[in-house]
Amino acid sequence: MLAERFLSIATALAILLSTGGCTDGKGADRGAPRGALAAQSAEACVDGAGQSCPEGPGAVVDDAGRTVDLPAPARRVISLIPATTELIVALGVTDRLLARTDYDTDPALAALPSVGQGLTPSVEWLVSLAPDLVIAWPDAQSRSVVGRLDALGIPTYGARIERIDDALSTIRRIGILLGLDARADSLARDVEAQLAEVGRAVEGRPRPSVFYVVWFDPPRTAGPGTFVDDLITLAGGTNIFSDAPTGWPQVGLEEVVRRQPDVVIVPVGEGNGASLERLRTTPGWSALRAVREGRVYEVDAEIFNRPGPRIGEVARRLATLLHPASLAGEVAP
Amino acid sequence: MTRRHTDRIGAPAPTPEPAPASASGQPARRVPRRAATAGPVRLLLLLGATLTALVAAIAFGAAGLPLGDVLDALAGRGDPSTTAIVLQLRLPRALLAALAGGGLALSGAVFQAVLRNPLAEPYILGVSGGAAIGAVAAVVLGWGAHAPWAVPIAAFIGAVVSIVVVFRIAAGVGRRLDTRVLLLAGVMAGAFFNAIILLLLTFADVETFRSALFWIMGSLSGATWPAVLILAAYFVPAAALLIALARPLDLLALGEETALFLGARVERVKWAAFLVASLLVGVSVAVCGVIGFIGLIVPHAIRLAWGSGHRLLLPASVLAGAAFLLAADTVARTIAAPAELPVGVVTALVGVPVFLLLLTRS
Repeated sequence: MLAERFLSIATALAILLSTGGCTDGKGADRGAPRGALAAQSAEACVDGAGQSCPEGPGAVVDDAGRTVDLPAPARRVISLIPATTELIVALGVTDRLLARTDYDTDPALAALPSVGQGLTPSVEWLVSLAPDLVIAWPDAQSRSVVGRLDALGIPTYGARIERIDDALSTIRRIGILLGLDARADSLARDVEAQLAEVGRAVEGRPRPSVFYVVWFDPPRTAGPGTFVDDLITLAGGTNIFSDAPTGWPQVGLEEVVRRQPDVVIVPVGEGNGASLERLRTTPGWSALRAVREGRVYEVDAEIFNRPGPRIGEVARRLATLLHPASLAGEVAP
Repeated sequence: MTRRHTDRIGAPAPTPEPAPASASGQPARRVPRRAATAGPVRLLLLLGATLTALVAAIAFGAAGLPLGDVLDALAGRGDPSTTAIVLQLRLPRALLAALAGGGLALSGAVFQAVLRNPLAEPYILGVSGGAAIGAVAAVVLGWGAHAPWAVPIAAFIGAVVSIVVVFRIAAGVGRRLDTRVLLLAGVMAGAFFNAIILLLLTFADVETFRSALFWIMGSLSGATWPAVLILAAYFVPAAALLIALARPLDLLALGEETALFLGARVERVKWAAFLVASLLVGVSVAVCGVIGFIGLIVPHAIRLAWGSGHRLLLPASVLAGAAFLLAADTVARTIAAPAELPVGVVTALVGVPVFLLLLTRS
């Protein structure tokens, strides 16, 4: 049955979606320019708590091109995307979150009810929590969720975080909706500074080629227009599949072997079956020079696959993996 | 499995012996005389079950509202969030489930009768594949982002195109509409469409993929009042027409030659039944995707329990299909709350054991 074929592929993609989930970067239906921030109330709300903003936090344009204009800073928030959940935690307002997904494993969120994997949350349950902001992927299926919530008068923000720049502008835009403009801006500046530091540290060094194992079987990797591709480039490497036709392509193992990456990055966890041990013992993978010579690095999928506020940290760790000998002292681990 | 069982499930051929025609040209009814009173009683029983399932679907949900609040909301009182949950989410969804379940079971029963194949189900003529291609195309071309109705309309157009293609193939072979050719054409078209979808998805981005998945797995979560009204507007006349075809379908079950002999306008009945039932499936796919098992299991369960006379089978399939999908969706909405299970998972997980029980008991 077709449905079965779909389900097997869907399992892989569900993980991808809920963790880093991105598309091929076309963004064709995005009406408004990226990161169009309304700064009207930024000065009025510098205290960060939002209480002194009687006229609302200011409108932002989300990644679906919709204008989100809240009457007051959001205080009851449901984030269905782990990256934006992390962002809200990083902004210090964990107490505004009403729910989480199964992918949000942060102990600080453990007490919150989970909507499962975030793919098919119950709309009526979301409504019954009386949120004043729901953050979700603006794709066709979520659109039915987002559309329903919109029709019921619950503001929604569609976040489609594809590249590093999207992650940074998301920090600022969500910050505005929370009435935390100043705090979000300083967080974004910190991340930008981290990224810039990494970029400077690897400048002029030889660029090892990298294979990033988004999914082990069948092999799936990050292609062009994704934050993973951006991060590999920034950290002084070359993604061997930066010429792929789509953002998260399934690739033939044969092609991986033919391209012989210098380094293999294996995000472990979130259902990805890959591990150093499996790569060593699986035919094909074991033919990779990087595997035989020990340049396979396991990383935490929950950190590396998310375009959230920790991308600066991810860039640093990638840089130290790609340039181990020469960078040890320059970039703090 | 004994031979007797095979016969009963091999259903639409009810009597092995040719039915003797009475003086008035009426064929002997397969259902004995007592069915004349048993039929309405059974339908009333099923109607009761459907209404119970409808009430349960409105009363229960992930939000866990007290019954009093639900009643208040139905009466137009109560706080806005509860009213929204009951009137904008639960009620349209329950009605959509009832209409889609009834429509799928009815068209399943009709397909099984006309194709004289017990394995026939509503999607056998490639309707699901056509609808999925339409939906995927709409998403790929970016229509769905601007108009909320673009994707369902594209899915419906895909379903209609698939129906037309299959019928053109079948009509082009031989002088009369050969149901075996139609069946083959449907299966072939389905396989071809599925291949196209898999090809598209190999190069598709994640969003397209998820949209297609939504169509393939089916879900009632998108239920809105307009969707309910559209499905109802087609369902009511279609169901009336198909149920009115009960007697010719009984005759068809005896074989096309016999049916022709007994006065059925075989060609016309076949065309009408196929087209009306296929379009019913097409509309239901457009509003809630492909929901499996109902069209296959419900008619067979009724045949196993009450025999295969279409005068009872067709309305009973409508009611039982409605009750079954209502119950399955209520389970899908509540059992893993606040997440939702795909409703097709519940229809199969619950439907298959119940069906097997009926099969081995009979």
